[in-house]
Amino acid sequence: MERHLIDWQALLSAFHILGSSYSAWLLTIPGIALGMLGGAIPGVSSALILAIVLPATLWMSLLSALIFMTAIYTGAAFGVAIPAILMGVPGSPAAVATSFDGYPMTQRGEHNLALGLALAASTLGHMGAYLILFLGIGAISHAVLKLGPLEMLLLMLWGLTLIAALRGRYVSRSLLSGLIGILIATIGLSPRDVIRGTFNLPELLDGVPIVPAMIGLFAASELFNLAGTSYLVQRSDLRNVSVREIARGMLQALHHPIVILRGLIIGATIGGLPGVGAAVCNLVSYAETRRGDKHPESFGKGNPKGVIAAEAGNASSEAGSMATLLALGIPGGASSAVMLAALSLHDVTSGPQFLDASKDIVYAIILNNFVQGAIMLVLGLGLIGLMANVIRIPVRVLIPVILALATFGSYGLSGNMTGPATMVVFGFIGWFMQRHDYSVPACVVGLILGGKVETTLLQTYQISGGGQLGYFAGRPIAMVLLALLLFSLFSRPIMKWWRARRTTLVDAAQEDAVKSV
Amino acid sequence: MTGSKNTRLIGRRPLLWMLAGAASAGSFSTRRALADSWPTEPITIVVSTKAGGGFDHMARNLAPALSKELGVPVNVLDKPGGAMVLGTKYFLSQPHDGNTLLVSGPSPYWYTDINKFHAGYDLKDFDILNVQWADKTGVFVPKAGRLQSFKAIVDAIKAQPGTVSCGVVRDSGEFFNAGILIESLKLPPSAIRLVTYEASAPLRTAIAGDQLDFGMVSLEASLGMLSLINPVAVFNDTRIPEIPDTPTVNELLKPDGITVEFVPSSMRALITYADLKEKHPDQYARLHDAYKKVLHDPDFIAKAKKQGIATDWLGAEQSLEKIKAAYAIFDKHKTLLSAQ
Repeated sequence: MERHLIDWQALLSAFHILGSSYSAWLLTIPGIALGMLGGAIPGVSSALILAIVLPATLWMSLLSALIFMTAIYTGAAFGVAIPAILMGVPGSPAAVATSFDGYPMTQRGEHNLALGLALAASTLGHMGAYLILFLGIGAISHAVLKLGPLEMLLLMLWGLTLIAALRGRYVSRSLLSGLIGILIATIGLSPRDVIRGTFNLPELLDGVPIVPAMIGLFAASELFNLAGTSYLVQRSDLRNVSVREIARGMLQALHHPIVILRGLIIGATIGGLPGVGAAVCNLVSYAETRRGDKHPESFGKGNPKGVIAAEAGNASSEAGSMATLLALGIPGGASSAVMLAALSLHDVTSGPQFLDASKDIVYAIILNNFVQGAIMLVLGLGLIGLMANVIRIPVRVLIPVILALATFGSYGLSGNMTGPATMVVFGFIGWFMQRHDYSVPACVVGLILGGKVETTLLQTYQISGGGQLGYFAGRPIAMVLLALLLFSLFSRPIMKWWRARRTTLVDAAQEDAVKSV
Repeated sequence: MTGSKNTRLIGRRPLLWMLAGAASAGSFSTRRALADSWPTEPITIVVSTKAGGGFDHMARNLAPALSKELGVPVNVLDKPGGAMVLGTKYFLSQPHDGNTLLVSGPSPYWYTDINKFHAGYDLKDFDILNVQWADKTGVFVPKAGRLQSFKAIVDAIKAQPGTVSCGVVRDSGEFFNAGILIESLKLPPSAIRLVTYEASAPLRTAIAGDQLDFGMVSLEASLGMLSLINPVAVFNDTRIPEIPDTPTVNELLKPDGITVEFVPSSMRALITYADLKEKHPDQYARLHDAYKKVLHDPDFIAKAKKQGIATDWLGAEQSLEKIKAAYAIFDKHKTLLSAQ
């Protein structure tokens, strides 16, 4: 594969294609709007919207089809943040971390600010990651190839450490919730072909459907909590929709370039790993920002940086998965699998040959995505201005509406009553957990990552010949990841202990000195 | 396209009634006319895997062509999960009227479903219309890998058992073929580090990224990645035209006096219910003929070939024979099922 940074000839040709094809542009705006609206409905994933529009792309040119689909992808990546922030119910696993700080901000009456932060972080993450893609699509796809099961396992574990951070009043109960989440994730056919915990229900062979379960847990724990109140935002003077405040949030996001940069690097690189996707980027970016912060305890209580990190992480994962899809022909997740199907409908086999032969089309997609970022900013401003009005809806109306939407969404995901049934069961579990101070987010993190951790752990065990140390020593990237993981876990307590010890030593020395005088 | 067909069909019905009346052959002709008007409702092809894989690919490629033949819309519904059990069971739970079809993998996946997971269905519950796509097992090494030939792989496994890693999709034909290969070399299963993947896409990524010494994966779908992975052997009776320089596994093992009795890779088939032929013989015949016609249409064949989708026509009998032959080999190596 060609390794030089930019193929100018292809770039020129890309400008030409985009300049002469108005249909591709005509599809960009409806694509983003469709994605955003769909993403905002809990349970409707970008993969579902893409699957629905897939047959329509047959009548489009290849470029138009790809642009339409990436526009939906882009819109949905931000859309999922809206219910996460406004109602504490993430529309997909990709926005779980967004709700950690976004929803507390809403409860404080800072919903405008939070939505503005999310929109700006999403846009910047999206555009930044596409810039990285533009500069080195080949390099990114090769970087992805260098990550084996061990590296993926460490990344998942990194996300899993969030469980300890997401604690309520009792640390032990949060750890237990995380463990319960992981255990629920093990239901069904294991990677070693063992059927576990299905109670002989064939519906459970594929495990508990994660998204309906997640919606049930969040919706029940947050919404039932609200049942006694009248509005989402308690103070009536804060119950407003202010474009000025949204704009202020957008500007505020710019004050945290490091947080955004961290998110987009995480998204652009690990977003493309098969089976990793936006949810892990969202969690890892959040976890890292929280840990790197001077006041980690302020996260989860409405820290704007939490929203920025989470959104920058998931928005940039699109570029990562496009890199592996276009350069290697490997879908990183469900959405890109549908795009791969769209490519094949157009008789195109994506992969190294496609990248070499059709670099102009790849560049045209990337260039269009820069513009998509700008369009999303405008459309998003309009949409969140509209959506933020939910805070004016009385809770007694809002709760049934959200539950109904979520039920339809879960039905859409499973195509039968399994989805809604799962949602209801987990609704009760969520309500019980919330009532007794068991952290619901910790359980969801366990639920999302549990299965992936098991698969990569098994593969690591197999590939290393049963855990032989020689394999681990020969994986420098894994060693760096492990060192970073250990550092981020233990640096703070060790520093604390060391400081405390030094203080006591100094104190003791001073006492000795005083005595000797 | 489908709309115009529909109007024509509706137009044809009164004509048939008139013909029936003219023939005045009583109830027989009337029933005949009703059956001829099938299908009147959209047909659904259930796929028992995720969207984007080879099975889904085949179904989505087939749907518009079948729709054109049958004059009603043909939709594709992915029902993945539980090693194909969920989709297959869902299909069986639908009315047995020909309006629902199944694209699934009778071999090797159903073999595992039936014998290991006790899925509760059997080959006799289905009428395999045709095994349209029987892929072959390919042995691939990373472009930058340390072992660059089949002989190098075998030598390395023999010289240092337990150090060579091999990736397969669990329960796939390749999973069996890897076990069969090791057995035929008179080595214990622990001689290779067998790494199991959930699907072929992540497995191909792992081979391309030099994470594994070699991988055994369905061949045709891997040909698009030849700039990242090298084929070193095929599990087939003859060489493959697309990669004529890659020898077959039995060619390679001949100097050692070994012949491997391998199983086919994923068989992707279009399937209906076992009782359809008896209950609705006309529906069955219409479906069968439409499908057969599609697979013999040169335009369809050319287009499918471009996408790497096979368009073999074996028919129901030969298809079943092929599956049963594969099951007979699986039976000999049944212990592999519990070896994971």
